[in-house]
Amino acid sequence: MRMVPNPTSTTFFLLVLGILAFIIIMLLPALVEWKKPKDAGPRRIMGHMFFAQTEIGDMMTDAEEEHVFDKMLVDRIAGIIAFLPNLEA
Amino acid sequence: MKAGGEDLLAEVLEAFFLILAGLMIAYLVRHYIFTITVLKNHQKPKRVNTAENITFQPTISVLIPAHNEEKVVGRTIQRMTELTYPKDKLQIIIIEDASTDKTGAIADQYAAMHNHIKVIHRDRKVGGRGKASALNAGLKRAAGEIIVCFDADYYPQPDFLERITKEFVNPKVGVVQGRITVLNEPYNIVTRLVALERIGGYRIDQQARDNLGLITQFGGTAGGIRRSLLESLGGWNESILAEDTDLTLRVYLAGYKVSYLNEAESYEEAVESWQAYWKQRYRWAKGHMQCAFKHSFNVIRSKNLGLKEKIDGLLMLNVYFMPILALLLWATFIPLLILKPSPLFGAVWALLPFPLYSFVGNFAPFFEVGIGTYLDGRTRANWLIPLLIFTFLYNIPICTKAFADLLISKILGKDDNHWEKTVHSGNGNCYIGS
Amino acid sequence: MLSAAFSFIFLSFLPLSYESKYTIIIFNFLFVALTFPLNGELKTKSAMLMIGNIVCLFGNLLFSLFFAALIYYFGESLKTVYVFLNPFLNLLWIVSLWSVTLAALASSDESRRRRLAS
Repeated sequence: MRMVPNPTSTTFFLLVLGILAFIIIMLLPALVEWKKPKDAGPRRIMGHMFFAQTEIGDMMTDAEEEHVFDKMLVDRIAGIIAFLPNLEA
Repeated sequence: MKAGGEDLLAEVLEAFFLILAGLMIAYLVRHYIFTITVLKNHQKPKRVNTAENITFQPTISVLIPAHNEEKVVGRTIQRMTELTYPKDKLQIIIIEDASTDKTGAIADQYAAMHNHIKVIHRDRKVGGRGKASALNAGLKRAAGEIIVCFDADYYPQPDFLERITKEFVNPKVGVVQGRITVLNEPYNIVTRLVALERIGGYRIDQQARDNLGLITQFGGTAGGIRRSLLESLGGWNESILAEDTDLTLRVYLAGYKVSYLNEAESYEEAVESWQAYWKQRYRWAKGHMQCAFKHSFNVIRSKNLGLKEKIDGLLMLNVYFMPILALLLWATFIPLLILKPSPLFGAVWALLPFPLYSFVGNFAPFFEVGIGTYLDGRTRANWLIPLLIFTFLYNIPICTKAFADLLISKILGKDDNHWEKTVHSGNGNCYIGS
Repeated sequence: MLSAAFSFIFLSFLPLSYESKYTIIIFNFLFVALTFPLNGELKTKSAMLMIGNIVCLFGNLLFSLFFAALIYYFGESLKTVYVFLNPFLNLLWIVSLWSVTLAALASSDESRRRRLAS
């Protein structure tokens, strides 16, 4: 490790500030997500449809889950429709 | 003489350091193996015995122990009535365990409306002694072939029971464990970090153990066990704080296995303060250590476990010693740097530099959590991963205290199994239709 | 392995400390081995790898200068502190960078799936 030749107190102070700034910058994404969350969850589990306070559009599902979800939704809608009167009769 | 003494001390410290580093490396390599296993198996089709066309619907008894859970138990019992499993094959037993709030009254209301819901009230003379005791009381009234446990704050998906019962088609499967997801994740930083830990623990750890045929853990909730097996094992052990880990080991030692099913999910309410986090993890750490003392030799001697299961079992049992090992490792390294390393270990010392171990090794748990969130399709939640450094550091005094308390209680011959209950606030209720 | 070998050769010519060179090699090896096989655009991964190397060089230079100044003021015994703390400071930036990379890869993967679905 090289020695810094005769560092002054100012240099030392700046280095301390530099280290602290480096640590804060490295933790900045974590701090941003903590204070202004864009992916705070909760993760939607299969078969659960009701979220009072989260937008459906923000939720992440993988292709497999989407397929299952759609099937469930279709089944539920079909069940509801079955009870409606036949307006064409 | 002084120089000779220093050299001897350096040699002893170096040997101690190498042993500790070896143990730590075993855990860290395990993290990498688990994560890469799950990544590789992610796209593979599901196992044959979980095929969609298998219909296996045994009778099920769901046990829900509840002590002062008025804020969450209503939601959980309501969810039990919404499960799609045939009601004529389902029995729900709520064990109201010496509660001083409205838990009992809420449970009674549901029992009055639904024939398949029963409530056991335990007064302070017999109740309030912890979860294992409450579950054993419920087991006596259970009639189902499969016993499923949920904590009072749990909210499973509607077809949870159908999913886990399929795994019991395999006669070697004694227990099935589902996945747990944190419901109140957005509440504060504690819940968000706990959610990340849960992702690493279930999405990666449990899944990998299942893929590799290792010791998958029963978490004591969101899982089912064959009633015949449970009764033959004598029910839950009331003298151990981690009754779930104890049961896991007893199941494996009896020649059965625990199956993990990532597709059978339940929500839970995570702890919401660092104080509550401490209490919960302290209980887990102490309970795990109790199991380590009880079962480590049983695992080594067992004829029902293969070599890889024995190795993983020992690593799993002693996992809560890892933060203490890390502390000892650092404490050993500093005097080693000051003293001269001995010639005997010179070459080895060059091969195992502390930076390599710390850098690559310590990255392993973050890698595990990160891949878990990635596979879940989470995006910005990954940005919080660096903050897990602080939870890992926080676990060091927790585990150290748990070990110290356990040692003291063993030396003094005093059993201290006081169950410090996790308080649930119901803050997750807003995320589900209630 | 290639990335590690390449960076080792390149770094041999740079006036960095032993620990810093080690760190860059390990970072490149870990990043390429653990991140490049994941789904996501190659340009994102390459960009983050480049940023990582720049952060690594800058960060290690800063740490080296700081600890050299510390040792100058407080004595040789603080070399122990440098050897002990250096890996943890490096762990901090690599975990941060890697987690941001994962988020970027997951985002681009999700956008691609939404585009395909629509």
